[in-house]
Amino acid sequence: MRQGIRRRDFLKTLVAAGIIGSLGGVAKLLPYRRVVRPPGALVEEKFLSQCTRCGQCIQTCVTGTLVPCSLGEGLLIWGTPRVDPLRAPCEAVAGRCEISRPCVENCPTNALVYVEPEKVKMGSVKWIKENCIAYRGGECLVCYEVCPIDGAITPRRGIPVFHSGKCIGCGRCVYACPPEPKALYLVPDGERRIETTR
Amino acid sequence: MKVSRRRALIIIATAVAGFLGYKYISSILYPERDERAEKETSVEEGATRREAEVGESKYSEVSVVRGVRDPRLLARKVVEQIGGIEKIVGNKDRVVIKPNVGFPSRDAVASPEVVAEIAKMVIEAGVSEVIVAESSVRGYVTSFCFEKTKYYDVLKPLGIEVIDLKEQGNIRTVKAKNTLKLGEVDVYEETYTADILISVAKMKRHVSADVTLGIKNLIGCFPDYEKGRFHREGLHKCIADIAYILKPDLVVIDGSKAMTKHGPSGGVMVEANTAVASTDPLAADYIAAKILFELEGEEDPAARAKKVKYFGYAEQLGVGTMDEDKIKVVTG
Ligand code: SF4
Ligand code: SF4
Ligand code: SF4
Repeated sequence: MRQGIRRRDFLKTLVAAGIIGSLGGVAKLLPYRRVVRPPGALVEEKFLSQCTRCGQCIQTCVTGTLVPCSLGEGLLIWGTPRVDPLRAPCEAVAGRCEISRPCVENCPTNALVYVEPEKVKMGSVKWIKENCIAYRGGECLVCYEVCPIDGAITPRRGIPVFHSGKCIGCGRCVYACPPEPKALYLVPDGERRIETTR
Repeated sequence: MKVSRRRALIIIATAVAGFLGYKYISSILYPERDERAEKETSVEEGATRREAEVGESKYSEVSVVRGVRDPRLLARKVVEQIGGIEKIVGNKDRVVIKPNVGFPSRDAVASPEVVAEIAKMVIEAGVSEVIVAESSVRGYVTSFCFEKTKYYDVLKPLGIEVIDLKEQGNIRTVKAKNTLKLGEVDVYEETYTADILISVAKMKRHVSADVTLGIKNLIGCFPDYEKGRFHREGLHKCIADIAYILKPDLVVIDGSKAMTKHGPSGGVMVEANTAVASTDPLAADYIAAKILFELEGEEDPAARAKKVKYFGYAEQLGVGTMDEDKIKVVTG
């Protein structure tokens, strides 16, 4: 038995090493990246043990924001859901998923659970000022315009100021940020995860 | 426990093949959403929705109603004061009302009651087809905004079609001449081809556009990817361009509750019980902006209103006037 586990671990390492060797750039992200999880995800360790990578949340998400983590993002999280604000924002707050969330309802293992909109915090947004239209002197503040949370973004002389404590990580600002490349991206910093399945 | 070199190579090869296969499968399962590719498009050369009228009257009439609490009455009165809706819709068949329903909160949108009353007047004038059409700001689902702000509740019983342009709209590519920024632009056909286009706006301040009224409201006639482009290319010039391209036949601005200080959402609400209407989009916006700045306690609201950048550009393009000598304000 012990032997079996060791052997499996060894093989896993080997596969990982193989990918490191073959996929150069992607491999830098190994062993695994911290990603933005859907609203109401259990704490990462529990989440990973409960999520079966069935993809139900991803398939039923109303906005299409959920994508499976790629192998490049980490063998450990491969196939688990993450929020991708470039595709769509998450509507758990001020959107269609306030009261009922398809991702949560369709999760067969309670790796995702329902939390009240006021308690949703998936992460926060980061600003790359060099890409920001407003910072470069243009008129923008689209981020402020679309943000559903009072005080998460405050404009100062036409330039957005981000308050990560208030930001819930819904991704609306990232989705709508007009420049290419965008001036915003989402990180799990400050996320509020759930301790137990209720 | 040893693994032969051959076995290690097989494992590596399998992992690589697996990864590539996975990428391929996921690209099929989860394709990037491309709104443009999803819709039928057609191209319109060198066009704006309607030509500037020849022999336009020397002044623009702007109707202003203040102190009416009932939004339906407010809407009816403000339209009647400029001669009634019949004068505007004439014998046309397809009237499209573009309300401002950018967000899922009532404070941020034009009251559905105001829109309903205008639609009713249009029907009373004998028009066969009245459509209410909108696409909300990026990241918000229009039908959800309609639902939250009671548009369906108020309009559907009247038999008025309420269209979510993001979901149901068709796209037309317009190649406009003489614009400031936009050479070629995609617009929702439903609004562009309307016989009569009525912009029903909410009286609001706006963080980047300064004010959002009858002209800025037209941004919802454009698909999301164009909305983003307007910010990249210079917002104020693009707003003037879209006003030039779409030039609405009538602007009605709902100031029953005006949003001051901040906007387009989360500003300070003032019960202004006011409405403004005109067939000259710029004149309507200018007068409404003056009222908005006056509500904020601005010392010289006229001078402040003149500072709204896109007003100047719109005037340059002949969208309308903000010269007070050419504006005749009609009050009750
Ligand atoms: S809450 Fe809604 S939008 Fe957010 S991940 Fe779940 S299904 Fe998708
Ligand atoms: S939306 Fe993006 S570009 Fe625009 S102000 Fe915000 S961060 Fe800057
Ligand atoms: S700052 Fe961006 S990610 Fe954060 S709550 Fe606002 S819109 Fe959502």
